[in-house]
Amino acid sequence: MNKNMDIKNNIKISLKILIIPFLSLSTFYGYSLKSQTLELPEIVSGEVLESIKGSTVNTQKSTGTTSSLTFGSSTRFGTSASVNATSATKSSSESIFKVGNSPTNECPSGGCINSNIGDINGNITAKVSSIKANNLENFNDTLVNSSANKYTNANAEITGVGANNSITLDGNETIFKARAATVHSNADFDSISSQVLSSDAQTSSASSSGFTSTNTNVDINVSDYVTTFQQAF
Amino acid sequence: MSNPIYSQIAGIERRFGTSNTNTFSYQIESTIGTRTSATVSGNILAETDAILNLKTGSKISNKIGDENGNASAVFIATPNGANVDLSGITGENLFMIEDGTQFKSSLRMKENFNDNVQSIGEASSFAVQNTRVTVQKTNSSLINSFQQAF
Repeated sequence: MNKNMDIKNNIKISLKILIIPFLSLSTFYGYSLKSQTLELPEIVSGEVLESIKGSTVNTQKSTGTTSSLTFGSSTRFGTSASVNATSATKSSSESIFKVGNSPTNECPSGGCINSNIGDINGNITAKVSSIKANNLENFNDTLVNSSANKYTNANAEITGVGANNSITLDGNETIFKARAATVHSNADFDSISSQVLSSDAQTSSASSSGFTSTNTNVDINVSDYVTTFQQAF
Repeated sequence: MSNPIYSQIAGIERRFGTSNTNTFSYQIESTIGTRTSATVSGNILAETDAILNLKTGSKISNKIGDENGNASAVFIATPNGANVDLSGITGENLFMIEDGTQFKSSLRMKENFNDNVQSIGEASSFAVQNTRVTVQKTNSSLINSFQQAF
């Protein structure tokens, strides 16, 4: 009997011995990361320790921020052609865009595509903002009678990004030609001539064009994330 | 008098690890080239042609870093938008086009004309020049812990 009492007392002593090294630890799930200093969790009681005996817990927490800025300019120039002809009609389209060879004050050749990034100090600023509101009642000191409305306002301010293009055309060889006709037309158009083939509606269209376009785009993306994972077994 | 008996009934092993990652990347991309495309049905024949000749003296000059080699980006996010101040990145792209540059898009009917079908066609031929800057900034931290009770 006395021997059994001694064993129990010794077990209690061993529990205390086991617990002491963890007294300075903080709560297990309440740890925080502060300037690379990790606060370890608080020690658990002997009863809790007994209840979790044989268990394993893995925990991962990931936090971060991703910010990105994409901006630039895009220039396109050339030709396009399209036709749409129902049965018993004919159409054709031809576009030729030829760059000239006449220099100008801005460009020593017939065409120049120039894009610049950064101002004279090498700085670029971009500001993109948008406001969305539902049931707006006042706007710019003006009363909006209806409260069942949606309002969206977006602004983009960009400095330090520019594009300057100069293109001359060769007037003798630049051609834009679009033709459309019914197949029984007597017009000298691809040498197709016949009797009336259909009494249904006949529609034919053709277009030919040359184009130049320059656009500047800015995309700012800022996102924060927190990911946690815990596994116990 | 009996000697005391010491026994350990349970133990806990815990391991912790942390890591921080900061990345900052810049990229400047300048491209120039031509594209042609055609889509037809029915009696349409398509022909596209793109010729782009660049003249001597064209230049692509992109630079990251000021005279001291520094570049920076400051992102400020607000509930309604974002601001970015970028410094130390400059670029000048000048493409001079030489004589002989031309673009052609042609759609015409076939000689063996089938007058019972609908004909639809689209064609394009053009030059495209893009200059794009991409700046990315990432801050992340990872905390992992392992606990085993035995």
